[in-house]
Amino acid sequence: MNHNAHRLVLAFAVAALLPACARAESAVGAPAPDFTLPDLAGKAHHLADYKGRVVVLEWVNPNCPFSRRHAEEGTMTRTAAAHSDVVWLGINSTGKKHGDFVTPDKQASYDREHGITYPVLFDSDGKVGHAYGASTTPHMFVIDEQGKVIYRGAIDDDPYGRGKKRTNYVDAALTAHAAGKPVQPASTTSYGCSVKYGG
Amino acid sequence: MVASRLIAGAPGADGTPRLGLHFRLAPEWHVYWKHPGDAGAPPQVAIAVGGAAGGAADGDGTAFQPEILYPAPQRFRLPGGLEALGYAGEVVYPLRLSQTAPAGSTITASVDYVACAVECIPYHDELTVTLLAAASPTEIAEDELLRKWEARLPRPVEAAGVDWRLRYRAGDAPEIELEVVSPGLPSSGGEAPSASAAGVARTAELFLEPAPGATFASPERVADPRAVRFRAAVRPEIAGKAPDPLRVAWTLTDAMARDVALAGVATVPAGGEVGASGEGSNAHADAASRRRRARGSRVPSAVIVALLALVPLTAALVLWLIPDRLPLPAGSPSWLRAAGFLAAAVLVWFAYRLGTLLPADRVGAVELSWLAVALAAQGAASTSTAARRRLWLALALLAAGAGLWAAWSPGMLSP
Repeated sequence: MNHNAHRLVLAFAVAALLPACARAESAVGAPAPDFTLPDLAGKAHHLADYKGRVVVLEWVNPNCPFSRRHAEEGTMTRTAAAHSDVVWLGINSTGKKHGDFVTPDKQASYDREHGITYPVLFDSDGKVGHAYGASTTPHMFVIDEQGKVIYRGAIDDDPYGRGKKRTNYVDAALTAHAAGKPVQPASTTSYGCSVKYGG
Repeated sequence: MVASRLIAGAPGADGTPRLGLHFRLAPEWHVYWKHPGDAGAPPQVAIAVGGAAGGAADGDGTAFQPEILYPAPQRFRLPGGLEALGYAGEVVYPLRLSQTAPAGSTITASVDYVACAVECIPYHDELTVTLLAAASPTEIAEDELLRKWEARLPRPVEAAGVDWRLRYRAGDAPEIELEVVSPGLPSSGGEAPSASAAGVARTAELFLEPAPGATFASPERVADPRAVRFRAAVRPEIAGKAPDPLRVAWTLTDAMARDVALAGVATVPAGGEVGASGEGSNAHADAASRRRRARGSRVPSAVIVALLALVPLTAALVLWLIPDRLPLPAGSPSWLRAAGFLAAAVLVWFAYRLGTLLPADRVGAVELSWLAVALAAQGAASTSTAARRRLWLALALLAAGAGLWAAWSPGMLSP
């Protein structure tokens, strides 16, 4: 088989895959896509290892004003502290070539500054973000003990942080789940900056 | 990045103030529609009608939320396959107030919004405008600006005199299909659409708001010379539980004329269809679940069929001819390789475009047929005997036929 034929077949394979690359979304009730991602210290976190515990995934970007506001207000850290049995993982899916990309050192400094003690994982190629359909920072996913998504969407109902009374959807979801009640709402529209995927 | 102001036009017929939130944006920046797409957030406005300068006023200063009206948006493609829906350059959001305010009143708008380019910046502005007693040059200019953007508000489809159909296909890959036939795009017979209507319709875009229990993938245009047709995958919020019935709120731009948008809200049962015939004010809603049987509505346009046939056949030809089927200059076949790569790139582009035109449930089958064609053609190119080459080419044609069937068969296309 000649060299060009190899290239053309490869091109066709790529062509065949392109239309199938539509953005996936992790619906409520569906199994949460498994992943293994490194934290700031390089330690690998494998989602399947947390089976049996409730996991919260929070898409973060220290350069996004929405993420930053919640960090400054302590929205996530307070919610995580109120549900100390829950595994809370931040995920940064910013592409390495994007201006918003921060090195692990800078992310660690940002986390210290804002009292963030939960692991923040790096997903620079965006594969995990795409698998979940994460589109904003912040974007929240709550996964139950069996590994199924039970909430996806916004952290709260106050995009600009100026409401007199906010509903923290993640807190409500964790509280309801702990009480054995159905999560309502189980899905909301997230708000914030777009996830700065690499491509 | 963004300049904002509150503008006032002449009062409405009911005496309520006509206000607008005017944004001018630097290049690359945008603000958001009521459904912002994959990111962002729509603006939030609180209005207070304050004391008039030197006179009494209706307002007591208590803030209330006006209804924000949204002109037809634009679509912005973002990295990672995301999209934002909103406005670039300039926009006026008309505001609908429920209370009157006399001339001389000062109106204050407390506005929260986010503007994005590469970065996003949330803003909070306190904007004021004083309602003038007599039309000044400033008020006349603001009134004209407000009217210009009020004219860009989507018109209710029921009043637009167009035929429209909304179908909801349930199953493992639920999707909706919206078809709108404007007066310039006849729905039946052999009459060709007018050039201007067809030109406008080519730029048509569909915008969908999230539904209770589901969101929608970015709509894909379906080539159809008789209608403006879009399909969009339905993404249930609960896995495997697509809403039934499904509420669909849609806005369609440029289907009738440039800068004219239509909007509709319909509730459609799974496997069913709703719509109306465009007979001016006599438009009526069709019965739910009515199915179209007209063959013309099921067959994809000749363009898609022609492309589906051309792509695999061209691939077979290219693979057969390159490199040893042409007289190559000894030792320097680079030009031919470049031509081969160029042909491959064109084919990749065609493949991608087809992927955006076909509904999701058929793309996979068509893709597989293309791969089979490529492999069979490759076999034809590498074999040394004429009989085997004919066999491989026959297989390539068979695979191409399967691809056409996948895209064209009534069974695949039926709701």
